[in-house]
Amino acid sequence: MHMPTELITGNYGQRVVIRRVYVEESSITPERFFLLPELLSLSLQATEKKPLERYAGANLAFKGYHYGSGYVLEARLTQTDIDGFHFFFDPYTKAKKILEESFSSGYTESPYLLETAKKRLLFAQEEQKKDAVKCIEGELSALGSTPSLNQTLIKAMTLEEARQAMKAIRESTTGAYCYIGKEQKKKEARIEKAFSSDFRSLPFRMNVSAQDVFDDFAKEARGYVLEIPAVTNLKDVSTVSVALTALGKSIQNDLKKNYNLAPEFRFRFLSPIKVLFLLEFAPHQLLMADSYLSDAMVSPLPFSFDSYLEDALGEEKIKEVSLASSLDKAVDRLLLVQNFGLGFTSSSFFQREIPTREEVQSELSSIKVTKKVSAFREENQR
Amino acid sequence: MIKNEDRSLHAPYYEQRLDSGLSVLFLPRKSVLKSAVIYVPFGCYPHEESINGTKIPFGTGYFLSAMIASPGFLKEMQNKGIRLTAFQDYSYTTYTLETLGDIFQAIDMLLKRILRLKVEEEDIVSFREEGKENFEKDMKDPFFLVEKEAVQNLFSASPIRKGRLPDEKESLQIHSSTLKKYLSAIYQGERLTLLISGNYTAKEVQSHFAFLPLRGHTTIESVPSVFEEDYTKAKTTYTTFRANAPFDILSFGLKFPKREELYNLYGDELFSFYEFLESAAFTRNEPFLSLVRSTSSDLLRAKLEQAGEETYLLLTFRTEQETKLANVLTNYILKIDTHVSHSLFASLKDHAFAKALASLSLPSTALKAFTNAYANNVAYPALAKSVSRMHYSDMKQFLSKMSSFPRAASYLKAIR
Repeated sequence: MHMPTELITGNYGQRVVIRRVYVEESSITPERFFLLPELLSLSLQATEKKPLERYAGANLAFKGYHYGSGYVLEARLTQTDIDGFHFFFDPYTKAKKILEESFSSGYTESPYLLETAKKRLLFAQEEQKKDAVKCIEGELSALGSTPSLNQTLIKAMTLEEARQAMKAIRESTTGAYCYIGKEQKKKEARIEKAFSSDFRSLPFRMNVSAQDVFDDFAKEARGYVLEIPAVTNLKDVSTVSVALTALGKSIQNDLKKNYNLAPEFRFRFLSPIKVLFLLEFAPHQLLMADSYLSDAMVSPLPFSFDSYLEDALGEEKIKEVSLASSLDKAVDRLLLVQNFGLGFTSSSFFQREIPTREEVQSELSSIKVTKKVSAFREENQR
Repeated sequence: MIKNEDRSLHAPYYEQRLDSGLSVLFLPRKSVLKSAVIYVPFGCYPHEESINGTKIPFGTGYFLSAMIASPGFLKEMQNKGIRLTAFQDYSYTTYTLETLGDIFQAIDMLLKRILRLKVEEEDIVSFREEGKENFEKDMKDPFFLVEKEAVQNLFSASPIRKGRLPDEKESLQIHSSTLKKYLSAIYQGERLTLLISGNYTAKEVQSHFAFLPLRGHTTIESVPSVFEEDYTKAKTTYTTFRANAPFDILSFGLKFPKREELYNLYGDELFSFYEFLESAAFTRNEPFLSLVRSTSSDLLRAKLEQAGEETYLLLTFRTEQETKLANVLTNYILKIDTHVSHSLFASLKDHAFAKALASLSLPSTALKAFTNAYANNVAYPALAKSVSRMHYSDMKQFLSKMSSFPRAASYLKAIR
């Protein structure tokens, strides 16, 4: 039995209950897996027995993504949660029931729905193929990413194959719940019984043999896998965030000054000890930056970050504001907490300790560059 | 401050008009977040042809908001833990402040910025360059192209045809002298509204009123834009063009009668219809979605836009059978009042009310909801309440009227 990860707060006027189910790569093909969230979302509209119709303000959404050596199918139930507005006597148990049913009853088996779901997935894949950053994330099998899928297999998918995919999800015994909302009266109802193991038992994996990719990208990108001191709490997450923002700003400044290039940067956690740091360039600019980056992205990082720390700390403060003003951002943060088993309390969630300049400097000096992957426009392959 | 409260909404709010003419609205909320909005009742819709004898080119308000919320000023705010976002709708411009710290410091910084703004011609030139990039980006976006074409098919003369942002040629007409004139005419205390929300008492909020730096009253003479729009028909009913796109796209629009005419018929209830028209008739109406799917099409988005006297509703689809889809849509609209069931109406009405309650509980979303409704001179809680009390028969009546609204579509044949 495992406790779900909870953030007890009335800040958003809404509660969210998330059910995440993990399946191993070996038990399902990626094409079948990634069709499921599309099918489930469409079925919600199409089914005659609408599970949420009676519950005003409720919304159920599905998504799928890479996790460890498999995939996670996520169902997210959101509902208005304010005093004097009670649709559920016991919201958590009721939400859990709705989420379980949404997985067990599956989707509506209609050829039209299947075709629409395939087209939505194919469109998402087309968009991903143009997005250099998403391609690098997919190539690395980064946590939370979508791989590049075989379009012929998607087009040929039958209802029977979709059925088998749903069966693999139903049979999975690894999963977890997340909750954001007010304190519930029935505490024992929160105890998780549905899964025999949770996300703590899963290893973090990435595709270490990822290669450069060439395609018809709208922009070009370079990703660096960085090794960092292990994050164990939310302050560590902030420290990494400020450090990588300072790194990104240093690179931006150098490239602007010396090459008149203006890349964007971003990063995402791959595990508690690995981060993917991404630079995104206008077409044909990545090669121009290549020699600079070869000298710059080495261990230890050869930068003087002093003049960028204030701005990086400023951006971190804005991220704190975003967290308090956006339920989606809070959910993302809570899922990170669940993924990495980080320690936190509801009060520290919103008012985290901002790292000092010294702590950020120390973080930056510990970073090791371990791998790089690029996404070039295809003409660069010649 | 005058307190307004409807107990079922759990969201009291206070109002006061200050001696400077500034209207203040305060919503106490128990949240870690504090938020404020400076609301300017002028957006990108060009109501004024000229102000005090100076021609006001399309896009002036947009350029001014970008000068106020310049990257340098945003960074200054950011380093103090304040997030500033400028937004321009057709009817209004907002400057939203959010912080976990002192919201009154944030308001003071923003008002001082507006009061003391110095706009140089080189700032305009450099922003024009950035705008050029955005314009070029828009021109490559198939959704932008097909939707703009649909709006241009609906309207023959209204400035709504221009969209929200000036193009390269239009932006060349904008100079620092125009912005200065626009700033002093529009950004006067008496024209602005300050909305504040956070964990404060009305008394605490009031204690800051004496120190608000505001621009004083200036007499202005403006010449309104004049145009003749025929609201009984669309300019063109159907156009086709080719552009780079991942698939074929059809955008289908409905042109509403003149706003004044609809308001005379329905009063404030009109805005309650608008609150869930898209979901009731289209986005959450399964019989409609099923019809769409039967034409190998998929509804991608729906939006209702209001500007000046104009209102339109736009539905955008991925499609493989555009003619069949267009016919299905036309037939559906002709009998639209028969397609919204009582149970769907009841469920969506509850849903809209519950969503309103959720919006009202967080300072940032509450102020966003207030500013959206404010453009129609409606207080958001009153709107939410009105939605919850709406009758099925009234909605049916409105839908029945809607069946005769002029229609137009634009079809983008994809070049892959």
